[in-house]
Amino acid sequence: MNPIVYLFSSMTILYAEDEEGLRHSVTQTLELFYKKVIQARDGEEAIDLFFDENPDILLLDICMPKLDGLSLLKQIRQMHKRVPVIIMSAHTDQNYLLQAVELNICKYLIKPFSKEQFLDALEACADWMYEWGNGYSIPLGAETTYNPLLAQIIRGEIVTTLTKKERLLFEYFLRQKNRNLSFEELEYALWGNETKGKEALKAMIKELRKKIPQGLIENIFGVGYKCVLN
Amino acid sequence: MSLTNLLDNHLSTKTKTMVLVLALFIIMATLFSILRYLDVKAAIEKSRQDYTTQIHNIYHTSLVRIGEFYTNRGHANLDSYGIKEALSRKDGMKLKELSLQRWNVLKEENPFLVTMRFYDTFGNIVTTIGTSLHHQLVDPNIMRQEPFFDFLFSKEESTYHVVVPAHENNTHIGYLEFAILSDYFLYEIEEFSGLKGYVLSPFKTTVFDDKHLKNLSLTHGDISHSQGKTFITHAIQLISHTKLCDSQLLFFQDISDQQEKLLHAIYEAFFLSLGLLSVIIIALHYGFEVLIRRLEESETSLRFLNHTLEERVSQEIAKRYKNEQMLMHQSRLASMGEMIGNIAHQWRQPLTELGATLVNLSFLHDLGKLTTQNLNERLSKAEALILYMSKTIDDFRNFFASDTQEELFCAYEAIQKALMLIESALKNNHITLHVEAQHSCLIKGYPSQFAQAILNIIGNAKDILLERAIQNPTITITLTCKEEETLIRISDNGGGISITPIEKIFEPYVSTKHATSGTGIGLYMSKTIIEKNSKGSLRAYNSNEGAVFEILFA
Repeated sequence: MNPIVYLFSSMTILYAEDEEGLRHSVTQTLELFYKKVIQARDGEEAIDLFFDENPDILLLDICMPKLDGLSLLKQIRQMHKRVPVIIMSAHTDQNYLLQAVELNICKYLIKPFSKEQFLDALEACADWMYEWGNGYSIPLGAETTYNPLLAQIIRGEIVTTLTKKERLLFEYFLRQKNRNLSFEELEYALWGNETKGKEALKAMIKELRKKIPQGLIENIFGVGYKCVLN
Repeated sequence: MSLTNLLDNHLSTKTKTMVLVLALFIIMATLFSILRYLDVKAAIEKSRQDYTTQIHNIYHTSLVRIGEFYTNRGHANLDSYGIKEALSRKDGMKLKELSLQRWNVLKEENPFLVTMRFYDTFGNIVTTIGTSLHHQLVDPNIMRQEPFFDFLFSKEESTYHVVVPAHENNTHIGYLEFAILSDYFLYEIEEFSGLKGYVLSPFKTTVFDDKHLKNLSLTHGDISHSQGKTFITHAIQLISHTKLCDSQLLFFQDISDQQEKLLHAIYEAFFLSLGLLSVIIIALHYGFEVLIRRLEESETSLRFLNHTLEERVSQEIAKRYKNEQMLMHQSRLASMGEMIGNIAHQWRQPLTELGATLVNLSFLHDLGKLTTQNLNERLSKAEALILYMSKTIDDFRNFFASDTQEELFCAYEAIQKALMLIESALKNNHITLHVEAQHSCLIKGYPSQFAQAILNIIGNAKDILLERAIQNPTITITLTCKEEETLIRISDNGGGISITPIEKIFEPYVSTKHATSGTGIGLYMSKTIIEKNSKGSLRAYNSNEGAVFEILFA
């Protein structure tokens, strides 16, 4: 199996689907790859859960009661430009496809789907998240790259490996690059509800800054941090 | 076969019409000829009457004139010198001598004067000047004081007499008599009319000098023919008062001309009629030719039409039946097409779920996390899904099974059956479905057909909602019943039916949908099912929001 799927093992996915049976089956599969699968039964629940849980990836059905997947995505996109989204739908109408493309999605997964299509969707998500080039290396500026599979920062001959928590934090920064990230958001991403406080976060960022190129993570005074990367 | 039939069979309409018109014309022409004949005849009659009157006038005038004239002459003669004296003396020689001069003058004046005689007071002849006659007017037994006149007829003569009595000092002394031949009157009339006349007296047989006049009638006013000529007889009675014996003046007027005129009138009328007849025949022939030919043509085609009508009716019925069958067939095909769409909707979910289960199994296997428990759980889930799909297929198949007989069925169940098939399609298209139903309504009819009709109507509502991209599309179904009435109302918020009049939507091949999605049969079949097969009624109208279909069983 493609190793990139292991990338998701530290991530949360929000899965919105109104058909219970299908939701159950797909959740069983998603749980194999993700740290946490958040299930929503309709559009409104999904949007609530998105803001509550701040998931890393979205998997949305289009046809749902109360709020359909595309309208839901439209609302999310107004604030979170970068969050990767997979649309899963039985609709093959060009109209839906075009709308979906405009909403900047990673993959349009047509029901019913095969194992390969499912994997493709996950891969497309990973690509989209890190915008890496060949060999799974994410450029971090001059001559420095990051290999997410191995959690290594490579500068010429020098290779530095990130700890588990450092990796989690750094990859979160990468996925949310060029966005102001609050202390709370970052704490939540690291420790979930069992937060260890702002000071612990600051200490971890200090350690992280030693391993990554200078200036990659900027302080935003009174708010938090920002990963500046083109 | 009767004569009429024979005529009917052997004569064309044209001939019949022409015969009729000609017969009418001949009757008219005959009438015209007769009238013309009578007219001319009356005119001729009148001219004859006039002619007769004129002749009589001349005769009477002559009679009076002669009487007056000779009375005067008589008085004059008696008053002349020596006459009365000689008469008193009965001196015949003297009278003759004195009167001779006057006689000659009178004779010269009127050659028909034959005799002048003097009588004494007793009626004896004193002297005679001119021809001596065998009869005399003066009767010796009657003394007359005034002049008198009369005809006298005998074997030898036929004369008119004028007698003037002579007085001498108021004493009657004798008479002076003049006798004029009756021929004088003939002469007078001949002068006027140019006709040759004859005196017919009982004492002598008249010998007509003209052989033309033989065989002619002697009665006044008669018309007789002789030698190729036609004559009318005019007779004037010469009445002798003294001797009761009458005579006649006879004239034969040649009226061949008039008769010819009469004949001519008849011929004229006849030829005029004949001319008109030919004109009419020609006009009829050519004028009616066209008209009648058309009539005959249309008659022929009508006959042909009548002849083939029955055949055509049965052909038409067969065609209709075939059409109906074809419609049914098309409707079935269309329904099946829609069914396939519905099945696709119905299956997509379980298929996706089944796929997802398999994907899950595969991943579990790949990751080495596949346990027996896992496997069994997934397998039973997959089986359940397959069973569900299989059941769906059965539902659809049963749905289209035809009902064999009329039965009492639950309307709610039938509606549910229809909804079951289309629910997924509605849901996949975000169409909200509201059902408010009483569960106990019973309908007599064919449940499957009824459900198909319901499905048709809901399907149409769905199509229009999608086609018009309605916001918050909704279909509402209500089912209510009280006593014998059951009312099913299916309404949508799709904006309504745009076809006017609305009833047209129930006609076959009428559709508002795009050519790709509509055949135009669905509502026609629904109407047929509900109204013809189940004795219900189906009507449609537009509400503020959209179309409303009402099915009523009463």
